[in-house]
Amino acid sequence: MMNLNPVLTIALPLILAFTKIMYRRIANLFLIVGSLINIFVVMFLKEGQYLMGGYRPPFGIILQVDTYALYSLLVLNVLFAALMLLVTKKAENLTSSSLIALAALNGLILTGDLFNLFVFLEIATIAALILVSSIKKYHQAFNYMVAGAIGSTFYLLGLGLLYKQYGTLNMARMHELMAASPSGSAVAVILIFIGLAVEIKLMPFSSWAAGVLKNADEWIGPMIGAIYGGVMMIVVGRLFTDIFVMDAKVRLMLSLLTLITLVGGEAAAFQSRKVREVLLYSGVAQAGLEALLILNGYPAIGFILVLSNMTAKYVMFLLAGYMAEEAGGDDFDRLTGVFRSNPVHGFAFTVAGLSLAGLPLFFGFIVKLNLLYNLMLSHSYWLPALILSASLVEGIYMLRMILGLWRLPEGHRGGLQVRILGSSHRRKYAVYTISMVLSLALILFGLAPDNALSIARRARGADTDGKPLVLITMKGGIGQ
Amino acid sequence: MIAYQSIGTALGMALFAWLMQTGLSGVDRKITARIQKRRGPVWYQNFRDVFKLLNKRSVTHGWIFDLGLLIALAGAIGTAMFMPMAGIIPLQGYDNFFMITYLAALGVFGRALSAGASGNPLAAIGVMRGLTQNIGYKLPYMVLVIVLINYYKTSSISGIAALQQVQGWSVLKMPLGVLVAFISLHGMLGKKPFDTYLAPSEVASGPMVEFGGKYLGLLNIAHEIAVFVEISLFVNLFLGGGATLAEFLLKYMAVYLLSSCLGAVMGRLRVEQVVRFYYKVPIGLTILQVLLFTLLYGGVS
Amino acid sequence: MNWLSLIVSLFLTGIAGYFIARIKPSLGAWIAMAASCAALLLVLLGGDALPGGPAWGLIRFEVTPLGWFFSLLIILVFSTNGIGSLAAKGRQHREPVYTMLYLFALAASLGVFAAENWLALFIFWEIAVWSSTFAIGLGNGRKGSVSYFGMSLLGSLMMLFAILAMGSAYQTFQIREALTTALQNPGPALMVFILMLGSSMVKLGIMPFHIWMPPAYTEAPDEFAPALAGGLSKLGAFTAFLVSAYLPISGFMGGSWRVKGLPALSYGLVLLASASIVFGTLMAIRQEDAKKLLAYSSAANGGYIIIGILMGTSMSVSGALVHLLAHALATTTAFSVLAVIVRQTGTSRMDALGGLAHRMPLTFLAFLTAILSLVGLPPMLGFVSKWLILQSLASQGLFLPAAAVVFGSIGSMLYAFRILSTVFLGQLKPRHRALQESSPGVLLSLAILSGATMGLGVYPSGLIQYTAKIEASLGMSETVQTAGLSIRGINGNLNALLIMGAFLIGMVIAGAIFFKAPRSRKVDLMDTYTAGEFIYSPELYHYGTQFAAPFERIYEKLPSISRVYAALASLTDDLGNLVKYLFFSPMPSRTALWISVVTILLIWGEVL
Repeated sequence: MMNLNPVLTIALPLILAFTKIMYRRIANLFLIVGSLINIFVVMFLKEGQYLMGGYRPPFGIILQVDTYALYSLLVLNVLFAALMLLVTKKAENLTSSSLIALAALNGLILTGDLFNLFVFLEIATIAALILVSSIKKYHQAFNYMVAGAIGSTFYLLGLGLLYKQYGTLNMARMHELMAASPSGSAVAVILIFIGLAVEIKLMPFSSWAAGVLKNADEWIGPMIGAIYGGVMMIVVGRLFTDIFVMDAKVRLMLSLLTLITLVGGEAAAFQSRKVREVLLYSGVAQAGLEALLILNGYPAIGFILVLSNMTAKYVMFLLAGYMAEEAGGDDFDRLTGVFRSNPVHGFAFTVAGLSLAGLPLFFGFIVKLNLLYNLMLSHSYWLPALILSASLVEGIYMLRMILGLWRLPEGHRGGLQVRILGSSHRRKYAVYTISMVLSLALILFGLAPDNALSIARRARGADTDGKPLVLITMKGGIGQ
Repeated sequence: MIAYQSIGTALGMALFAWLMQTGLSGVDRKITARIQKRRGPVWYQNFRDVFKLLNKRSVTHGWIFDLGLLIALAGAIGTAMFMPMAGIIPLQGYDNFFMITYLAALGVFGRALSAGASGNPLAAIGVMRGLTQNIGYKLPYMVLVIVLINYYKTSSISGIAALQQVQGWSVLKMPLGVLVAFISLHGMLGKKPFDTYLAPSEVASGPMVEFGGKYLGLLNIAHEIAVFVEISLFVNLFLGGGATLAEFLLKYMAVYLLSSCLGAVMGRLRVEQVVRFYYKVPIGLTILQVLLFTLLYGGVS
Repeated sequence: MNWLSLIVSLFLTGIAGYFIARIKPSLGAWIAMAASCAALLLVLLGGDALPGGPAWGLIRFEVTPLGWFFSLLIILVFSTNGIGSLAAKGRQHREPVYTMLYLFALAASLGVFAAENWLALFIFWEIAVWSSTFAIGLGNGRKGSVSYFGMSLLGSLMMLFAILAMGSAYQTFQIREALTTALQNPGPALMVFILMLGSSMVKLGIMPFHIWMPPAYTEAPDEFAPALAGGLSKLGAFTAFLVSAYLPISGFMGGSWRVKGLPALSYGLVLLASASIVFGTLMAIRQEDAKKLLAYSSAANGGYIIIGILMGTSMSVSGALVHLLAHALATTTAFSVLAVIVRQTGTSRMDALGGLAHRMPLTFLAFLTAILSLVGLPPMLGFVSKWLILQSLASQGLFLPAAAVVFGSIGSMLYAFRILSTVFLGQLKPRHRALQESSPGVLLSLAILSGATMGLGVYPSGLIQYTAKIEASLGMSETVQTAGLSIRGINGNLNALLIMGAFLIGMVIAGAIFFKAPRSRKVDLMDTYTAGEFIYSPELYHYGTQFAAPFERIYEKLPSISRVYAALASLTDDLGNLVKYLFFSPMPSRTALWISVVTILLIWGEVL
């Protein structure tokens, strides 16, 4: 068994990104090969800590490969590589930034150092900015830049405060010190949370997401809406579970923010009449829920929710981007019946949507079931009731959208003429394959979720209060 | 097993019902005429009418028109076969109130079916009016009977009548209720002022507009038997039935003739007036009566 | 053969059916029919002793008498409807995916009825919900499937909440165990009961939750409406039976107030169901569309079932079971007939039809049995159930609910006659002269359904004995009794065969007089007495619009509950708009402002 160094997942894309400049002709090949190699590397990673530069922690920079990081990396790289299969001429100019983005995202997951995290965050944001500017909505890109800059500043500010108080940037060390004397760190934690809240699209800070994702094409949508959002949430999951120690008051205040996001996001999505808008606002709401779980001591559930949402959103943004491109817009009326002539896309979109809405047979249901069950085990009824109400709203708008896309327009006989991707065969089959594989995976994990659940438990073992995580699995019923 | 003898009794009951009620309705015509300062026909005129009608050729509007009428008559006969009268209980143990009501309703439905099949909109309008009124008078009536069933702990009509012989008539326990039941009965009999569904000048006799010849004759038979069932029910449930046949028949005639006399001196209400009347007065009184009854006799816990 | 393999093979047949129907669309209907008929045969032959099959994780089956009864009911509905839809040439029906969704819905329902634990029940429940949602979505119109899904989701989330509350409080998901434990440790028992019953009421369309029925029944593909109305909406009753049997209100609220011997909560819920009867009947009377009329009548009939369940006496529970079957058979028949009519005439608006009985007499007879059963007249099955329910109401002294039941029965005469009179009777429109009698497949399915309605209505003893078995299996101390051919009630007996006998004797007498009298001459429908008016055309000579106008006028101001839901939806919309305006503006300065405000607030909150 090989044992590869995780730094490869960061270094390799970076190296490729710069060598690519010399070989413009085969830039796309670089991209595809690079991301595929990355998957390969991830598959041969071993858990453990990897020192960079030979210094002992907490002084040197370390990369930390635990179950959490490993499976996050796996999902990230697979989704990323799949997206790279779709590159077109348009994306050619973006090869370098894509590769850099990949490197930064991998770094975000792997790093064991808070400042290093900031660096990766900056790189990821800048790369994303370049990618976003490809949709030629410069105003929105500018928005994103401003918001991202504010976010990073807040993060850095908080980090500075923490460094001043504890004198370390190493995550593990920081946790030890904070656990020993948590008082006085609250302001810093709040600042860091706000900094990251911009990236995970929590509500008062996420106006950039609306601008960017409303116009996202089949490339930017999955990239920003699914991959970036997911990775940032994984980072939040790492920081606010493993590193920072919060007192109940801070936790409550931040939870309030996430709750507002959950409710507001669902309402905004309910109100929307465009496919991508629905997806983006529902993404905002989901982010609120995920952050809520992470903050309140359900990191394992939060983790698996992030992964399942990331996959479902990825498929949906991908297809929504294509549909919008072909039909020249994505309002419901224009797209009514589009799946009639594109049943494969329709199937994948539907499966992803149903999974997102948490209906059985699909992975999303298992996640939601465990989520509610664990909340209830701690004798909280209000939170599950609230989450279920949000689910109700979500289910309604999701199904309304999906049914609308399947339904033939009034008075229409026969199929609709909009064909998704009549133009390029390669892209067409790539989309078929990617969306089908991912949606079938959602069904597969929905039917046999036990492995996924046990991985989540391994990754995020006990919750912060030390209560064991109880899982409902399909095989064994209730288990610890 | 039901003996053949009881089926014979039951059939006899149905025949008796028709004979008596047809005769009585002749008397009714006579009385009405006298009240209106006319001489009126002889008391057996209705028998003459029926036999004359049955021997006349007529027109039909199709097989549903025929079938509906047969259902109407069969429902009426079937109902009468279960009806106890004084000590005579044709099908002992099965004279259940709900059963009789629903079987009678089947007859009504048959009549409506036949009328509807005639294709004449006046008939459909008449049926609609009839069924609308039906809600008005059946609702308080049935609620009152349900109260009685709850009180007497039996839904057998003969059983309720027998218990009243011992415990006193229901009319003493629920005077308001009996008033309501009588108003309802008056409506069921189709007497003025509640005969809007027939209203010759508005809807040309409503459901009956297309019936002639043997159809009218059969309808007449069905109607008379249905009237018998309705009045007998009233007598059995509210007026204590009868210890002897004579007592029963006396009460029967009293109720019927009272209704006739009232009908003879009243004018017809318009359909909205009927509907509003029924949904105000009888239902209001019923609610009051049920409350009173529950307070006085029902164990409130 | 066992239950698991039955369900799995139905699912697989559904998937296979999709691909086969893609190649040859006409085969789809045959596959749906064959699969459901095979399932019918299997369940009939296997009886309630059919083994559940091996456990597959949480998915475990256990066939109970109650579950078997429900399964038989739903398979009967699905298979007869499958036979009836064979000849359908409708676009929606020939969609390949229809076959798949149809069989998925059937398989999932069977899963619900035999599930051993709540989670499995919920999983299948939801599969049934979304597969039927998509099946409805294949029809015309936008509202139906969404409101069906929205309300169903509301119901299932209520159920999920209750399931998880039980699971977390008692550490078990086993159906019976969880409920009986709840009875012994009544912590969340009240909540569980209310939520579970609420979800049943949503499915059955009890009053505040009925709004999905009219649009869903109207817009569903004509071939799916019978399965939906007759079969799938009965899922709700199943959980209601389970919950009220194992977690009776008197068990956890025993000491509290009682009205007429019922705990106050039961009485309140019975009143709600009664309100549903009254409201459903009133609404049904004023509909202009036949399918909407039947939808509201379903809302009313759900009320009888809930009343029967909640009263909890042996007779009332048996009445509820029989009523369930009676209503399933009747609505399936009625919707199948409407499907035939819509296919041929393109409309289910009653005033656009008329006189169809003359073109399709056999279909009319089937419809007549269904309507008589809906009204509850003998000799149909609907009479038996109404009799049982009324008997128990009378003996319990529940006068208010009894009044509602009576109102529902008498009021149903009005709308039942309306649908008969305006669709099948009255004047035949010239454009409908060429209509055909239903195809043999439809007639076969109608014959089975109305045969069952009438056969069981005349000879209900076997059925009643089975409901007694169900009651015993649910642990009820008393069960409904039969003696020979008659059902023994608390204060009276019912011998349906005797009633039929009396009716037949009456029929013989009536027939004898009728045929003895001179033959009559057949005349055209337009050849009628018109009181001196001129008549121009059959269209103008058909009384069909605003049928019960004098009655409708009394309650024309009855508030509509769907407005409440519409208000909720627009409230959510407004909130969404507000959120978008405040937090998602394209101005970066506004975002910056929010960030500062929130930061200040948070830090302020922390420092304080």
